[in-house]
Amino acid sequence: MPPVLTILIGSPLYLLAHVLFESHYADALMAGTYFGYICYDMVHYSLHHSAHKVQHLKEMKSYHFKHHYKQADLGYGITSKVWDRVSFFFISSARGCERRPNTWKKRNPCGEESGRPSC
Amino acid sequence: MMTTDKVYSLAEVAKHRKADDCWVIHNQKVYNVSDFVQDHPGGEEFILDHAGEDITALMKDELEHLHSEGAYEMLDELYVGRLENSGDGTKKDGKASSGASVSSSSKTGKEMITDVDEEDPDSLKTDIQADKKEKFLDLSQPLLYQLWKANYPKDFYMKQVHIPRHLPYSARVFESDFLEVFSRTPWWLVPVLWLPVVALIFSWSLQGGETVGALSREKAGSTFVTGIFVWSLAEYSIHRFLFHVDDLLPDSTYSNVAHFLLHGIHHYLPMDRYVKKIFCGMIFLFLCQFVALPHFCLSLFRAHSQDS
Repeated sequence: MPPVLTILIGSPLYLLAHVLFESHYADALMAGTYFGYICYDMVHYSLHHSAHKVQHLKEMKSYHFKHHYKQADLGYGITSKVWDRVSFFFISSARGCERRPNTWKKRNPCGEESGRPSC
Repeated sequence: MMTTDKVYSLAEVAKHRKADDCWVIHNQKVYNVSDFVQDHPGGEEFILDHAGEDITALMKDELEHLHSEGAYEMLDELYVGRLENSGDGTKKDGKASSGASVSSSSKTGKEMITDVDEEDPDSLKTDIQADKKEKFLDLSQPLLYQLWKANYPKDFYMKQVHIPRHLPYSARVFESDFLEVFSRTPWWLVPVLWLPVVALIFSWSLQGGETVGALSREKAGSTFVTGIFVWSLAEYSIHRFLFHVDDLLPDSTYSNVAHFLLHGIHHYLPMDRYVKKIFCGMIFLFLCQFVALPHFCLSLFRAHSQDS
């Protein structure tokens, strides 16, 4: 994520945390959030450019590359698939396509032409 | 055109099987993929295992690693010559075998690659070059200004930007040398810039003010960890609902440019090592303004309201 966004997104979050919580808690929370961002950024870079031995990272690499090279509107999770799974229950089959990411392996339900679903 | 192309024999191609000198054969054409090997999305070992060989069937084998149309476009740019005897006998063999694998992999074989199989190599070459004329950005020129001037319709822009391209070097974004500095950010700059910020903000939570006591280490630590989980949700939401708002964007050059800078460029050049983190350094200068200033105002406000 370009740091211009880190600031644009981070600052309102920071203020929001301060509105919601006592300032010491807000600072600790935002320090953790920014730390999470740093970890994410390095994980994301390494997914693109390194080979991984850790099973989770191996999986995330192939998951993220499917997002890039196969279907950009599937598989938004980068450090974990958790939120894709959660959101599947809330925002499902918006285009009549099976959105559950793990069906990728078995079949591709949408006849894709340009790497994006056509149905 | 094609007759002036160099012709290589299988044996000649087979000599190039090292990481820094790696050739492959696809559809009777020879490609020098040396510059691409280390950026191969599936990992360089997949290419090196088949260096100097014919990878036509492999590239569309679903089990091995089905390739997107972007992959074939990248390959086309690495073309060095034709395979010897790609006239009659060999070509028919090649077509027969590729036809077989299409039917065996049924559905999947149908997507994207169909035209590659059914066209003969000559017309394929021409097609791709015609496509190139239509292609939107010239990767050898600064990208942003081109995008700004070109006024692409949204549909065309969105289609193009989601087809991954590959360069053996980092693409140039800005014309200005000064701005270009900020578009090239190595991966380690993010922790170098932001870890001190994390430390600073965290230290605030451990410092007691005059009226409010500091957090205990346990409380600060557990809140910090909670923050990491907050990030996880933020990461997902930002990626899905901000970076990929493609459908909701208006059809305008402004939104194309904004989309390109935010996330489009990363889908356009997914393997670029630097270009994604535009303005990294410049933003650091604004840091005080955006993080420290609100903090300062808030503490003033709190101090004031507690006094009264």
